[in-house]
Amino acid sequence: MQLPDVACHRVHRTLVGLLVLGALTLAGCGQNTQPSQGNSTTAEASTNDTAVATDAPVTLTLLAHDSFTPSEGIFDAFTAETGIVVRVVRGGDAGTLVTKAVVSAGNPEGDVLWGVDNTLLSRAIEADVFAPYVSVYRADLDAAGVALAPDGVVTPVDSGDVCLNYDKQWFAERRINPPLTLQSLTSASYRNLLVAPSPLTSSPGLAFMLASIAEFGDEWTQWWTTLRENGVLIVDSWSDAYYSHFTAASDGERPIVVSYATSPPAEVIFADPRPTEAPTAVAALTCFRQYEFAGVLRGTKHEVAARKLIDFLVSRQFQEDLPLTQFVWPSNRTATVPQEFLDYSLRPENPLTLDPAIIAARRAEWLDVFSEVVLR
Amino acid sequence: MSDAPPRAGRPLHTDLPPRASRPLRTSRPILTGLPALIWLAIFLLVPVAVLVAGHVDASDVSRVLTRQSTWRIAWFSLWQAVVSVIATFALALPLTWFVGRHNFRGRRVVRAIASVGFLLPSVVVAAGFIALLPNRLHVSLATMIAAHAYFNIAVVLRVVAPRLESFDTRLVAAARTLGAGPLRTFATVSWPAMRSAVVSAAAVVFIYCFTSYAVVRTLGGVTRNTLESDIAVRAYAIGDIGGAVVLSVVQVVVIAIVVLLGRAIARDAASTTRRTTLTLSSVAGMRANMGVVIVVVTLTLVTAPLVALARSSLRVGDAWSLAGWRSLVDNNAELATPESAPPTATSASALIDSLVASGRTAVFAAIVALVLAAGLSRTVVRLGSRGRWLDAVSMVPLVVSPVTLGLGLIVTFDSGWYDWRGAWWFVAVVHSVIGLPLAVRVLVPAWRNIAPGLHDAAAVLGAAPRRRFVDIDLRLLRPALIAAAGLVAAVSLGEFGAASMLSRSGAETMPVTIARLLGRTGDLVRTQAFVLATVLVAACITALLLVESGARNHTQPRDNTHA
Repeated sequence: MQLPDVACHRVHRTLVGLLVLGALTLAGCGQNTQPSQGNSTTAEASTNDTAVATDAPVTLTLLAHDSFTPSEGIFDAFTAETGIVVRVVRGGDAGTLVTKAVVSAGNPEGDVLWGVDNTLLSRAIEADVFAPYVSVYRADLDAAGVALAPDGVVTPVDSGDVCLNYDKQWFAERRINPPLTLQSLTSASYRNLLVAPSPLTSSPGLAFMLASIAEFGDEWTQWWTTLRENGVLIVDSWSDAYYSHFTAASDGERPIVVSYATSPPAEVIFADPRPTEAPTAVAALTCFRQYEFAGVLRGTKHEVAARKLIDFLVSRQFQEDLPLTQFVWPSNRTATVPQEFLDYSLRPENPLTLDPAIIAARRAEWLDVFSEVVLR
Repeated sequence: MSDAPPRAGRPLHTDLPPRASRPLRTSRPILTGLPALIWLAIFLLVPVAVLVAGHVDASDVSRVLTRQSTWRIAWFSLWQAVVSVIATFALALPLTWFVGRHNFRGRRVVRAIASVGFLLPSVVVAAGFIALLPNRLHVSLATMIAAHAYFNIAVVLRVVAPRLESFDTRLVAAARTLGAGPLRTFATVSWPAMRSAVVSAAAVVFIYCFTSYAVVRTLGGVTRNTLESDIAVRAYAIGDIGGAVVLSVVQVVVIAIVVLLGRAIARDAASTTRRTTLTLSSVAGMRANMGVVIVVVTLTLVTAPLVALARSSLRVGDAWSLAGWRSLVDNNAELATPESAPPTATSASALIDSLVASGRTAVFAAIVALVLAAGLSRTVVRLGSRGRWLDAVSMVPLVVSPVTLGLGLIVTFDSGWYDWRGAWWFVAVVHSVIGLPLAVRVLVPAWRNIAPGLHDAAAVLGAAPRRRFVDIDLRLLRPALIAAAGLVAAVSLGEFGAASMLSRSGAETMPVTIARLLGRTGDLVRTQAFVLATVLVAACITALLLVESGARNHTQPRDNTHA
């Protein structure tokens, strides 16, 4: 029954080894955090700014959705000017972000929130998530966006359109006209051609459902019933629809997809080598406009600094960075939009919209109806 | 042993004293289990309770319970989970048997590779399946079940194979010598020894499949909902937090019923297991051929989606390209065509950050969970039949919806000195809670296998408690400790639900980064996601090989009882 000593030593060694390994990893990571934040998301205080050096710098946390991808170092100028350091924290998609903000209203995880859109806005406002602030740039901002939040509870930062996109080559080869309206999608010539993300799990999916409600009013469920009979494919997410099923972006079999009006310029600008024209096009009459907003989170300990950050987010400098990094239109009308973005983008003149108050009141009911009618 | 019927193998153990000699050992077995219980209370019970208190009222309960879709969804969750368990065992048992009973070159590598699916985030596995399968199979019930089976091979392998390894083949030989046929030998000797491990693995697999979320959403299609995916939809898309929480309670209740049924089946089996001699057969003849077939088939199935991932990491759009890999090592490589490409591709430092964050989180979670689980499982074993409730409590983290847990943590640890929402280690703490049940599952049989007589004999020979702990418990537990640490690290590396609620930039774990990249525009960004996924696969296989080599001594035949 004796246990050889050698074995015991081995146990000790292994355990000690594990602990040391763990400690090293932890230590190594601790050291790593500082510079990496500087590289990726944090703009650190400029060292040559003497005015800043005397104050203890305020660090603001900017909560944003996963699609918030501004140029690196974009906040350096803001930090140099104000001494305020910005830490970007991404917290899932817009729905997740708003849900988290709602449960922690008054005791927020950050100071400023970027990315609540007009389909989610009322949910956040009802839960009293924001501390109102009217930006100094308000007069320069997209009037339609400002009108959605008239008392300055949030500030419009950008907008974009969710539209039908189609594969130009696919339709040209078969000499079929691409669909131009929502109504035409129920035609037999588009049988089994459309893929759309689900409104239950995807923000463009929700926008597309709202587009159908804006277009058809109370008849929208009948339209979806017909669309279902005509073989619409509903998938989980936008990326699944676009990158797994859309003929122009995958080896999928569906040449019509619900995507953004800015997807065609993205197809061009991301491609290497660049094509002379986009392989995809947008059906302008099917577009639903999404406005995105930023706001000061109620309960922040740095309300004054947070307001300055709101101003920076709608300043020309920041707004001009948006088109080519996030493929949205700036809210500040004085911002210059890059030519290549203008060349390939379509900005529908009369997009479909719905009053956020109506969306707020009926969204849950509409989603339940959608589940019953389309996802059965 | 008085509660168990006599087994064919009993005579071989007569050299060990019966359990009646227990009084020599510590009188307060609950003490070692307390830290784990306190940990669970702080990071699981309290957050869920706070969420329920703040966001649920009676109308939510009646609204959810009277809605027809609730029960339709619950029924679907249930039957697809049962089918998935069957599929998992069908896929995993041949390999588990071969690996558990035989010694052959490359055994550890086989075990490591076969386990890798379990470590991968479900978004990545789903992406691998989509890359692999023809279009019309992308979204189907069969694909969803196959993915569930794929994930859980490791659970069966890790929980059942160790039991097979420690199973004394002389028992079988004895039974056969005494005239029992193969079937009777299996029914009276082999199966009773393995039953608790099999039921234990089945319970874990069942729970994972029942609460499946990402796989159901991407491969099952939008018309198929489990309770877990409906919880996420309620919480995020509809903003119905009360409804989501009520659903997660329904989920806990359904799972509890099924698991308790399973435990009733496993009841008397557990008490029959003993530490036994390790005798792995070497492989020859017919067995070798069969083994080669089993290993090759299983590993091909396991690696196919991984190869598809690696292939995707080498393609940008329609062309082969190293751009994704270049962007991992060179911060500016993604801007190869300066004036053309916008800087939306993720920088190398951000990718490396998430690698480091994942590794750090996994190590921390594994260490914490290991210490807590070792104590708790000791208590469970020492309490004997009175420990059953504790065993059940330790399973609770598996059945609490990550969405609910994440929301609960956010509303609970939200102010003053306990505002930990932004702390890097908070995700690790949550992972230690989520991984605890698996560690307990592995360690309980291991504690049980330590013959009680060893402690008594050592005590009689003058060994102090500490010496007995180091020389007996630690030594005999080592393989199980290593396996448990590996499992917890695996869970942490692949965990998405809670991490996506709590991850922070600079401390964002890889699954979260991969999911974020997969959701964005641009071929290169997607390629980067696949690069990261490939790195994750490689890291996981490496980690598993390390774990395997740490357990090396265990796999070499030795004979403790005769020492």
